[in-house]
Amino acid sequence: MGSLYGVDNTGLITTAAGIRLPSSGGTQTTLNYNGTETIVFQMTGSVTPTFNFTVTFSRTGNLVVMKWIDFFKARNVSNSQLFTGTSVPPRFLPTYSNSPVWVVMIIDGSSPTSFTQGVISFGGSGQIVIAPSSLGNFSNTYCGILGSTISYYVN
Amino acid sequence: MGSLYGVDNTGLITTAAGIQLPTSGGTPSTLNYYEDTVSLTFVLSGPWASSRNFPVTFSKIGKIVFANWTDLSPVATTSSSVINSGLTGGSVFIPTRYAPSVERYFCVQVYNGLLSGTVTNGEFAVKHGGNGWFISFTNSGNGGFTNPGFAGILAGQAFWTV
Repeated sequence: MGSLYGVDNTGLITTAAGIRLPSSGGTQTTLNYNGTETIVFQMTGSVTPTFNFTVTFSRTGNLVVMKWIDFFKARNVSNSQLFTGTSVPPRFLPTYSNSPVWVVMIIDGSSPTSFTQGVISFGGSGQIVIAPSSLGNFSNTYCGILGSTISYYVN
Repeated sequence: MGSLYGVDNTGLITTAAGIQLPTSGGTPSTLNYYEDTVSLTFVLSGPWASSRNFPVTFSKIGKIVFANWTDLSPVATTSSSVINSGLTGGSVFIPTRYAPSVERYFCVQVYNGLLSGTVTNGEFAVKHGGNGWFISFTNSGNGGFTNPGFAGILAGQAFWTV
């Protein structure tokens, strides 16, 4: 056991190991992570040159909420999806062998307002991938994604 | 100064009642639940010749429940039924502590088509009926899967509140 400290409950409680909550009816799990980070990725694939894609990760325990800023671009590369040039840090990355896919609103058509359903997912190297619903490539004049959020867990 | 508590800050803090955080600008609620990675294996039936096991992992923090599942590969269909658990032979139901107060529906992706690898948008639902809360997958039109063809489920997730 470490040292015992007197804690003033009008101040901040800091723990090196986490906390356990009652979790009535379930199995207690140690809660030991809470943080938010914004990362600017370089998006590539169906558009060149690369451009900024701003993503914010908020993680509490092993549960992550990922939100992003919308963008649209004139597609100028054939046969490609959109993906980040670098990987998501492991602390925010799902560990499945096959990443989940999330249905989101994307831009895939003849104008910047050609809104339709598409998907966002994580590639095998941990990069963020945006694609049409078929999981195929962008093939129209404009491509992009509307701002939104997804959630998932890491373990 | 408020009350003084003896806390070992190199170890684990366990509370029998939960905690309240500052929650600036809002109304603090007691955070009293955190449970991570509880796996339940549902028995899915519907468009296939025989039922299939389908593990779903649940995590819950406060009143928010996350459900995550991995890929269920496409298998040849023998009927155009929807996919569901619980109502037609399944014995695993969603525990009450994870169940939403009303039915919930989510956009996901499924395998559905004449060819094995065809991916389309579909629907995941948490429903109540029969003996408890169960899960369901349909095509994007809230209908059954292509028959003859192939049906499966892509890895996905959903979250709701209880």
